[in-house]
Amino acid sequence: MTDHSKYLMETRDLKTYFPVGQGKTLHAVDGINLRIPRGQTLGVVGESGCGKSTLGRSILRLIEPTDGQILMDGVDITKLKRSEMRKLRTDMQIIFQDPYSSLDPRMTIEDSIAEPLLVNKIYKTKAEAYARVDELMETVGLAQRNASLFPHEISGGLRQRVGIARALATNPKFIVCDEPVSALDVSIQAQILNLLMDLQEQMGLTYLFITHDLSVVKHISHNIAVMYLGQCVEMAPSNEIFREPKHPYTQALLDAIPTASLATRERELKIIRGEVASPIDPAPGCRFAARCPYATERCRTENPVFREISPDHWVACHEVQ
Amino acid sequence: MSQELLHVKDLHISFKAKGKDVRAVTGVDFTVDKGQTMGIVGESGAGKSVLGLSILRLLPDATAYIPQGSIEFKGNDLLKLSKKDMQKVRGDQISMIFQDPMTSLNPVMSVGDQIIEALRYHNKDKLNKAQLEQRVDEVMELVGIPAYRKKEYPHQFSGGMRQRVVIAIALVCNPELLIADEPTTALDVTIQAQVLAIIRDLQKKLGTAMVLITHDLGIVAQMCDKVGVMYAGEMVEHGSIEDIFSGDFHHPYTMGLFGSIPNLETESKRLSPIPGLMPPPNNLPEGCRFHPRCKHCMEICKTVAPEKYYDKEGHYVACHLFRDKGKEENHD
Amino acid sequence: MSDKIPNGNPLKRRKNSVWKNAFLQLIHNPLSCLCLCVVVFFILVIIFADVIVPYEDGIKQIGANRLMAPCAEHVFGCDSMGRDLFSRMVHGSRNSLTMGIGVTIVVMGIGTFLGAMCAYYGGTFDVIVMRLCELMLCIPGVLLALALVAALGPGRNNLLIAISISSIPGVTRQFRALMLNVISNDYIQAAKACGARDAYIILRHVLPNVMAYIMLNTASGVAGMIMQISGLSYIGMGIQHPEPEWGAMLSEARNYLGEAPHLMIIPAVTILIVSLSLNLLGDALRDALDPRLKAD
Repeated sequence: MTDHSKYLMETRDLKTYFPVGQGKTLHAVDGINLRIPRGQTLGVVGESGCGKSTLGRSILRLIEPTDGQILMDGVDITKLKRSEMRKLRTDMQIIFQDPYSSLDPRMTIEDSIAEPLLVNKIYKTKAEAYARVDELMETVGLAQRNASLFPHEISGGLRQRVGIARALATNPKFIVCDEPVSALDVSIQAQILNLLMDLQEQMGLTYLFITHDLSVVKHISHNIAVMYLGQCVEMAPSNEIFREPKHPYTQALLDAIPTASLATRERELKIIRGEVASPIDPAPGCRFAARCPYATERCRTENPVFREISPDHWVACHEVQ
Repeated sequence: MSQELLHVKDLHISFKAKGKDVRAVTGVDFTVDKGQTMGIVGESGAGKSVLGLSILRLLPDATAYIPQGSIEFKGNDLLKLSKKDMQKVRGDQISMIFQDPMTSLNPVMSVGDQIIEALRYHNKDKLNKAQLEQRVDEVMELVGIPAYRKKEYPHQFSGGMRQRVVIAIALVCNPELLIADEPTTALDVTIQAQVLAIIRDLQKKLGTAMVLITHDLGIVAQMCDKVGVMYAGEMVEHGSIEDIFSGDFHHPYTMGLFGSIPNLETESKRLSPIPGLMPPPNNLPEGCRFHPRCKHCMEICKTVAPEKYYDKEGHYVACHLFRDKGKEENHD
Repeated sequence: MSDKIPNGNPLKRRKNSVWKNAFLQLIHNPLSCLCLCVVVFFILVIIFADVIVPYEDGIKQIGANRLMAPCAEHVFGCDSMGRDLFSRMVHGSRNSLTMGIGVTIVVMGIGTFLGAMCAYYGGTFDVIVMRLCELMLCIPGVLLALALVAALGPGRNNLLIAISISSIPGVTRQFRALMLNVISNDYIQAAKACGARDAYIILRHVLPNVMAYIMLNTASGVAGMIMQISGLSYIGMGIQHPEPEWGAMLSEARNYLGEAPHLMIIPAVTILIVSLSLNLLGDALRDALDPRLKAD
């Protein structure tokens, strides 16, 4: 039903649950359907605890999903054996949020970047592997003199570049970027965003870009998916979602961003009440109903279906026509 | 000038580290009037938090010292007050909101007790116990927490609710000045919007002045009346909110900050970040501290530190580019 | 990608190993250098004990030499049965030190392995091992060792087994907690994401990051082990009389503290020096192995 040549990554009803004791279950990711076209970026936005990081790690099977399918290039990777999965890992990589904990403090920069090459025995000799490391360091803008330094000796921005070089080492097709710029200062953040976009252009990479920062996600993404409590509430091309957000939660999220211009200063911010509920054994019905200004009786009892309301624009809301 | 509440004059703050002096803040001047909000923007390590702490004299005595400058609060130099007098000012006339609501509350004390504690230190009106309790209820309602929750402990509150408790503690004595150090950085956007709205409402109601320290230009645009941009311990640009967000007289660093944030309104293909890193305070470059990263760098920038060039009352830029355009130190 | 980067000879850059750097840094510090010398000295004593002084001197009982003070012939004097204390000290090091070090290494090895398995894989295995450890921790260590020796019968090997079994639970729990901390870091996920096998991740990432603590534990553990062995030997459950053993000698000397204090002082000071050196060395090694504390 799906055209595999167009979409590199697709998830079907992906679920990741965690037991939390006393017979209760945490629904971190609860039935996610995503599609990412080749060479494009899907931004995933949501507030802390909405399950976006778990989603990213489940797609790579770093956390084993509970149910559902993950199609990478048409292959359902949830069915693969551990050894088969290990081989496929060179095609799918991840860049982490925290540049402090994502690098082994006891390995030098070049050893960290070389690791995927040596683990997968991509080159016959160490010398060849380290020549490739030099090349990668140049690609991500790391100076040669940093090669034999340890992570604590370089700044957060440079560390994030090391993380990117390591992810690129095996020439992957797909990269999960898990909040790669959230821990960085704005001027450094812009450097890294530019780098990621340049790399995508040069190498035809496909990104799943997870972030809580809406201005960043708009800048880098072709499509945006908005998550709330483990579910995807809206997915659409990024211009469209900013122009015409359909789901009440998306609207609230967009209204809440303080913009760096005076035009919106005197505008009364439309503030949604309340806070995110607990993802442990959630009640039936729309997860957002308790905070939603438009909620009806139906919203509290029946879970809305994630449906396509116009080409490429998906929404899960009873009230949207 | 009768309205002037806080006047920081030529403030320098240094730290002693391994026998060397590390200059965290150098030559910062600004004023805050009654009810006004002053924003201090900059990246981490620019010295903005140190500046905030110094106003309350909360810097560690053992390592930090202030070689030069004064902090005048209602005409009295806070730096000259005795420890005891300073304690009377803290929490009563000036109070502070910290970034992390998880660590700024005591986990083994109920939130109501923590609010009362702040009130009891400065019990000016000699309130009795019942009156104190009533005041706590009032303050909690004010920040949007139902009063019945005062018996609960911090871990029973979410991050946004905890930050409201912190705000309640800060405001319980009706201070005239509030110092907020990244008050919403740890919070989600929708919660951030709630907290910012509360701060703004309360400021309007109580007429509290505020020094808002943040790295987010969006928050500055929404909240502040005037802005100081900090870079490597210096205030490189200072002006009213209109001066900074519109107008064409800017420090290259300010321009760089704006170029670094993706704009939601317009379609931009590439960001224009500032190359390189901010220098650490123990290794500052000669001349203008921004010159190694500046695309307009001239010969003079490498050796001579720029003066403050004013284009009008209250708006200056510390950059050699504006030597001729701006008038030098013209306000008295 | 285009032309070769200057000074980019990859093989040349990769000479310095972490262990070599650590050793160099250790040598650099006079105190840890001294400790290292002390430890090396005792190892040499263990190896060349027979060359230094004959074993028989420490066994032969000469009534006339009873409680003799140190003199030219008997450097450390003689004990309550007229045996040469110097010989007993030298040969006692074989029992005390080798057993102490040996047991510690076995305990640390098993503790590290079990801890790593529990921390990395978790699940049912983790639950079973941890509950077993907790069960064993409910019984005081010495009592457990005593019960085990009683069951197995006295003797050197049974003593070693008993002490090992009684110390493993505590060590396993401690190392598991340390390793859980390391495993929560993203670099473990990164290694998984690039297709590394579990064994590789444990050996290359988890162990090196807890190695410093394991070294510290091993070094300071030896002193405690010596005391445990001594205690059990004293009540006749370990090394059998008349074989020399430091702890047993110390206990024996208690009765003659007034008449011949050197019988007490010499073994006590020796044990103190050894354990102090090992502790300081462990500390220094931990710092030297941590690249974050590297002095530049």
